[in-house]
Amino acid sequence: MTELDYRFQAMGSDVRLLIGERLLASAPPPLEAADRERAFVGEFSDRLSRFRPDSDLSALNRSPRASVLAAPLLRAAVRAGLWAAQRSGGLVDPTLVRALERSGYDHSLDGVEPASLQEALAQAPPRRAAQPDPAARWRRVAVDDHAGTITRPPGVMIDTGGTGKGLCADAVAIRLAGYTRFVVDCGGDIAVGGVGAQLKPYEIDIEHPLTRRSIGSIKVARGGIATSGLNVRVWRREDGGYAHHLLDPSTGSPVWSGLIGATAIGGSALEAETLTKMALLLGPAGARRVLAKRGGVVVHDTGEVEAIGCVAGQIAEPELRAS
Amino acid sequence: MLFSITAFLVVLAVLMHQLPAANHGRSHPALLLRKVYRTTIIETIAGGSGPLGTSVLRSVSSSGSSVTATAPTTRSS
Repeated sequence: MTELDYRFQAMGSDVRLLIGERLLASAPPPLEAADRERAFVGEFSDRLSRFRPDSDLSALNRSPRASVLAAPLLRAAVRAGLWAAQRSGGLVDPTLVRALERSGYDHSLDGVEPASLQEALAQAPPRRAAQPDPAARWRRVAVDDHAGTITRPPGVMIDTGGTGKGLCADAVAIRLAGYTRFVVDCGGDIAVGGVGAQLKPYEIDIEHPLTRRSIGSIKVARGGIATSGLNVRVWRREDGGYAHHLLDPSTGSPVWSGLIGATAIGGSALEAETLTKMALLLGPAGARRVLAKRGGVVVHDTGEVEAIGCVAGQIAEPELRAS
Repeated sequence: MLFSITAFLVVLAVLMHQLPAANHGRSHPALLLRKVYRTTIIETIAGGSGPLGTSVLRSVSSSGSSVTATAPTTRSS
């Protein structure tokens, strides 16, 4: 068995492709496919960046019109954001751009050293679970593929970043269907596929958000696995307080739920990414409900690791607490 | 003399007839092929070429098992 291991930087993250042998003679050699997917991921990232004025997403958010012509990629990304909002009951809300900007996330943090999460936790307000925004602005966003438009109330800006990496991993996975087995890792949001992976699943390591060491590994044969954490995009505001990128939609402020990291398994990378954000936003009790069906792992503020559902039996870690 | 030569040729013919049969019945020595895990770095482009301008690390892993050189890691980013 031969497998290409191909790594590059995109979307402000490390991207990695593992591609097995060709299943179909018509498929290009794995290296050629990887080069092709690298270009795809780069274009995906550039056109959907909130921080590039020339991106499709920026053009949509600048437009004063209620209905805007949009290319298929942008329509797919907005659809993914709306799907996540629907799936999460409004917790993973793609219309929180202005609140993100007020929190200080108005420029790219790629390459910026994050603030100390331990110090941020020490100053954080009492822990509480996030709730959906009662206004639910995302419900007023509509994608019309027939007309090729996106419609939303003027002034409502959309961020596809919350679901972008998962969607990108899934899109590349679909494009790699002609290979025996493959992994698409977009900054830790991972899609797995191929008949070979179903026979011999990949072992996916889970990184602890504080120690950056492996918590353990989970076997994944197909679908997706994703992790969200507060450790990478946390910063200090001008008033001395701390903020991060996961907002409570009901308040527009960073959520401090009692969890600093969550890993979820899903039918796709997009679903896994949605579930992991739901878990992180809801805190320990809600995370146990959300992750019970497919399994997952959460990391508490203390750094303690808790395996949930079917995952508990898969990870061998002495200090692990199963529920 | 003629009898000796004839006898020698007869023995030789019998031996030549039996030799392939003996070889055919003998079992071949076992040939064991062991696949050894191997990772080969094909190319590293620092700074990269083309419009993306990033570095790319490409390697090919060959193995008898499905284990990769380093496991993919899910992480916050």
